[in-house]
This record gives sequence, C-alpha cells and structure tokens, in this order.
Amino acid sequence: MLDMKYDGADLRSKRRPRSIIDRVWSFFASVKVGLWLIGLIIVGSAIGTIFPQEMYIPQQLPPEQYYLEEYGTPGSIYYALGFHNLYTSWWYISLIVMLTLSLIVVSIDRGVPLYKALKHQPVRRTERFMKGQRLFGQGEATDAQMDEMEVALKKKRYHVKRDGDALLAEKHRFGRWGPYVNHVGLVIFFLGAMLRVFPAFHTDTLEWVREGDTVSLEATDGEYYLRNDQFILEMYDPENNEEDAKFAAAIEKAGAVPKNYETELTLFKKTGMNEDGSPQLEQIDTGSTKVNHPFKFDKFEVYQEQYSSRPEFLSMSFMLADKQTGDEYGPFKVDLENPEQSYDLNGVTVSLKDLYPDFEVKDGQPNTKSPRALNPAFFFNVETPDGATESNLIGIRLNVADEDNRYEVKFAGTEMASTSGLRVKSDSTYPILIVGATIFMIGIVMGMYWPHRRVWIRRHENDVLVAGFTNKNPSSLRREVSPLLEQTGLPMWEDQARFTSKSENESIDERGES
Amino acid sequence: MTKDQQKDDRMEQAVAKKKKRSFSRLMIMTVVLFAGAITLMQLFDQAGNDGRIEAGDEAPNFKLVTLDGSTLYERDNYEGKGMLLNFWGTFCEPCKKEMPVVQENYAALQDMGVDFWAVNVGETPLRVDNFINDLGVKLDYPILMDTKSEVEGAYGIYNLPVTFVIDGEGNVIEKYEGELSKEKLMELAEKSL
Repeated sequence: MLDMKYDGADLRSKRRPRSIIDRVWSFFASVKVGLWLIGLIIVGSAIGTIFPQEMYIPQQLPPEQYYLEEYGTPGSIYYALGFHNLYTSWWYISLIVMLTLSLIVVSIDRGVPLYKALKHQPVRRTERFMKGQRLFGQGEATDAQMDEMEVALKKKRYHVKRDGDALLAEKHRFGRWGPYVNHVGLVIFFLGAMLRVFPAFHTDTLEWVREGDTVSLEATDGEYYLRNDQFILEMYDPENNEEDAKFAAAIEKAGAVPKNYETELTLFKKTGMNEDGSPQLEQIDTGSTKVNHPFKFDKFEVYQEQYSSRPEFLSMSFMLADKQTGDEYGPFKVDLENPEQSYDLNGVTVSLKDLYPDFEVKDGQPNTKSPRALNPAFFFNVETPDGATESNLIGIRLNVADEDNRYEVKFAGTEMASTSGLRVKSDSTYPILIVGATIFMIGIVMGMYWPHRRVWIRRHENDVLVAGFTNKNPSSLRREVSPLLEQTGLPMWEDQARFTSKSENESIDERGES
Repeated sequence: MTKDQQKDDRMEQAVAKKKKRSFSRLMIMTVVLFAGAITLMQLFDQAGNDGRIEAGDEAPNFKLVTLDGSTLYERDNYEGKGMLLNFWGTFCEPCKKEMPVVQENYAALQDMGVDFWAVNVGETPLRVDNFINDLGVKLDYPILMDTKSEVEGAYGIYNLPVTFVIDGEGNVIEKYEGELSKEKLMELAEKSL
C-alpha cells in the first residue's frame, strides 16, 4: 500500500540538507525532536511537583536555606536546578521556546506541501495509485453506473469532480487542517506563557501589612499604596450565633474553627513625592478582601492569603497608684514604636529607662529576642515628690518591683495590631491563554470528528477501478460508500489491509498522478 | 526558445525559489529564537532582582540619622574610597560580639579610606542606647537608626549580622553573613578598595 501521510507530498525537510539553515530547519522539522521536547517538558513538570514551588514556602528563611534544611541534599539540588520556580526557570522556558519553534517549523514543513497537494490533486489517478489504496475494487461497469454513483455520492454531501471517465468524490478535507490549527493554538498558548515572564503582563507578590500601616505595592511598581484598616478573623461561634449552632457538635470536636479571614483596605495612588522623600497619596478606593473574594483595582487583584498568628503590640497603657494615699494617676500610654521617655503625672515623673519589645531573660539579664513587639516589657523609674527613685520592670504577667515602693505601676490596657499577608496579582495573559487553548481544542475536534474521505473511480482498459481513502476510521467509510457501490452495481472494494501485511509496501511514497 | 534555454530558465527559477525559501526559514527561526532570547534575558534580569541585594548589585541609597540624632548619613553622598555597611540588632548575639572588634580596628579602617556604618534594624533609640551603654565600649563609628525597617527591606536582610562590601562607585562587591573577626574585617576592607 502507498504511504498516504501528507498525501504523498514531498517534505522539504526530508531532502538532503545543504546549508546550516537547512540543517537547523530539518532538526526542528523532525517529529522525533518534537516528541523528545514534549517528553522533557512533561518529565520536568512532574519533577517540579515533588517539592513545593517557591511561592508556597514560608518566607522567614531565604529559599536556598529553606530547601536545604527542609529536604536535605535533594532539596538543595532541586533549588540549584531552578525547579523551585519551574515555569520561569531558564531551561523550562528554553524547552518551551524550542517546542514552539518545532511546532511552527513542523507545521510549515508538512502543512504547506499537504495543502498544495490536496489543492491541486488530479481527478484521474494512476492504476498503481488506486491499487495502493487501502480500499480497492476492480470490475466491469458502465458509464451510466458511474453517473448514478455521482448522484448518490452528492447526496452523501461529497464534492464530486469529473474528468472524462474519472471521478473524484471528497468530503471533510478541512479535517486534515485539524493538527495545524491545533499547533497554532499551542503556539499562541506558549506565547502567552512566555509573556508571563514580563512584569507588564504578570505580577505576583506577597505583601505583609500591619493594621494601620500603608505599604507601597511592589507589583504596581510603587504606583499604588494599600493601607490595612482592619484585619478580621472570625471564628464559628455556636454559643452566640444561631446559624453556627447547627455545627456545634462538629466545632466541639475540631476546636476553634475560623469562619472568615478578611482585611479591610484603603487604596491610594501616588501623585508625587514630598521633599522629605515620602510619597503624596490620593485616596482612590476602599474595600475588603476575603478568601476567594479578591479586592480588585486597575488590572490587579488583592487576595487574602495569610496572617500573622501573633498580633503585635502598638502601645501599652499604665496607671500609677500611690499605695500610701490610694490615689491613682494616669493612665499614661507608651507608644512602642516611638516611645516617650518621660511621663509627668501630677508631680510624679515616670521615666521609661528601657523597653524590650520581645522580652526574655538571658544570662540573668533582661533582653529582647527580636525587634517585633510580641511580648513587650518596660523598665520604669518612678521619681517620687520626696526625691526617691523607684524601679519597676513591667511586662505581660510580670511585675518586678520593691515591696517597699510607695508607687505601683499597674497595667491598664493595650492596643494591638494584626498583620495580614496579601497576595497582589495581575495577569494579562489569561485572554491569550484562553484564545490559545480554544484554538487548540477546535483543532483537536476538527481532526477527531471530521475524517477526510475520498473516493476515486476511473475506467481502466475494460474495467472500472474503485478506490477509497480516509485518514481515520476506514470501516466507517466502508459503511458509508459500500452500499452505494452495491446499489449502483459498481465493483465492490475490499479492505486490503485485512489481507496484506502492512510492512510490505510501506516505503512506497509516490504522488501517483497520471 | 531552445530546450537548453528553457532548462536554464527553470534552473534559475529553482535557485531563486530556494533562496527565497532559505530566507524565510531563517526569518522564522530568527524571530522565534529572538523572542525566546528576550524572554530568557528578562528572566535572568529578574533572578538577580529578588529583593535581596547581592554582590554585583548597586547599593540602594538611603538617608538615616545617627543614634544621637545629630547627623544625617546619606549613602550616595559618601565620598570615601570603600565602605563596609553592616546591619545588626541588639537581640543578635554575634552582632554584640563583633562590635568591640570593629571598634578596635576602626581607626585602621579609616586610615585605609574605608568607613564602617552600622545600621540597626527596626529598634527604638532607647533600646539601642541602653544596649551600647551596657556594651562597655565607646563606639566611634556611626550607628544609624533604621527605625521603620525601610533600609532593611531595601537590602532584603534575612540573617544578622550581615556586612556589605561597597566600593567607591557604590557597587556591592561582597555580602558577608556572620560575625566579623579582625582578619575578616580587614579582608573585607581590602576588597572594598
């Protein structure tokens, strides 16, 4: 049988390559190379799922340290080879670029000759060509029977061409373009994937914002600022909420169950710079972001992604009690970020001598574990009107003072702030990806559901030859056309693949035109 | 037209067609590979731009006041030969240990034309002042207060102490994480020149 791939057309890349251009072209025109590229991309993608991608790991440590400490040497290799940012690793992008080129070259190399061969195909084919088709029959018949066949084929929506005593009926030729349409879709898709590397098309950053703070958004290149007005963490509360009471049993079992994570936000746009280097901000919008309900502005989306489980202290307030008279002074408030060092309370002066934002005792000395106000402790000196100085070390569940002190510093209240982790994203490549994927699917459907069918009939000496071709599902072509052959009395064809082994004539590659 | 002429004609056409085809092949491959190269370049550009300053980057500018609030230091106004830019915190034990070492060698550094700036990360002047008084060593080099952690953020600091070696043009030559010994300090100072 004849090799009917690309309709026997001559593939340019199969000619002996001469120049370097031709050689490179032939390399990318090879289906084998294309399959290798796809294989490598699949294997790479699979390995990329073994450990988490960089965007999903905690941010307290530098990533190279995290992968090493968490996963040992394999983690370290994983990081070094760029698997932690798979889709933007240099070799992954290189593979995608090569596959894109391969798809384009293959399509031109095969699609163009196929198109030309089908466009200019003759109605009359050689005897050898017709005998080389999978469906072939030979026998006696009249011209009238052929005319009858033409009508019958037209009824089955075949396009019929006549050339003297030869007939060509064809349908669904466009199904042959399916793979090429599919390739166009893929190329568009990959183009979109490559554009994601550029910040103008795709940004993705996590911003930690403490309540009350305003931060410049890196994803917007400092054009926009967000203020965290309030972070809300609601728990299911079966005791006080009727709705939640339904789940009482489940909640009892699970402990505290969060119901809502939400950050109330104010959006600012930078309009200029002040002289001291701080930005001039104009309020644009207010809103909130909840899990799965992002706050949207411009082309950006702000997702509630994380929160810090330990709120920070902004300030602490204290009262000063006179143990002799029972009088109380205050309260006075100590701002933890920018503390006043002296507080005058009706003639009694309290001075702040030291402040440990994250208190611990180390080697018998008060100390701080970090600069974050997670567990503040204060060292106060109270200067009494009679000239004495009394020391106090006050913290959470901590009050170290001399029993004989006249004054006692008492804890009166706190202001705290939670920190919310917001993911700021933009992705303008979605439309490109959707268009690419849609074209890809259209190509698949075209190729899958519209098999290209052709029937040739011609007179040869005293006989009539009948041959059939389809690129898919030959039995369905037989089911469609065999009854017509029977009805018109033309010679019946046989499926030659049933009788001859396939390898016999596989190398024959002939255009078969007469 | 003779047969030979016809043959020549067809040869010429074939050659012209082949040239045209070679050209279009070259164009297609160039365009795709060029687009790929631009994408990769963008990628490499970003890889060095993960918010953490490393060797080879330009040192970001900043303006910070000293602990006593008396002097404003601006990175880009620095006119010495080299600079060691150190980040530290009172809660960091190796930071505490390296400070007397730096103080001992500060005069030698200055003779070389290298200044040492120590940026405290996000603490209150009160705490830092107490810490330095408790240290028992008088520090001659500038302690700069990054109370809002903005410079810490700009340099992408994770571990303390960290010392950036910056040359006269403001380029980071090396980033050294860890406690400074006398030898290390002098070695880094040499590198900054």
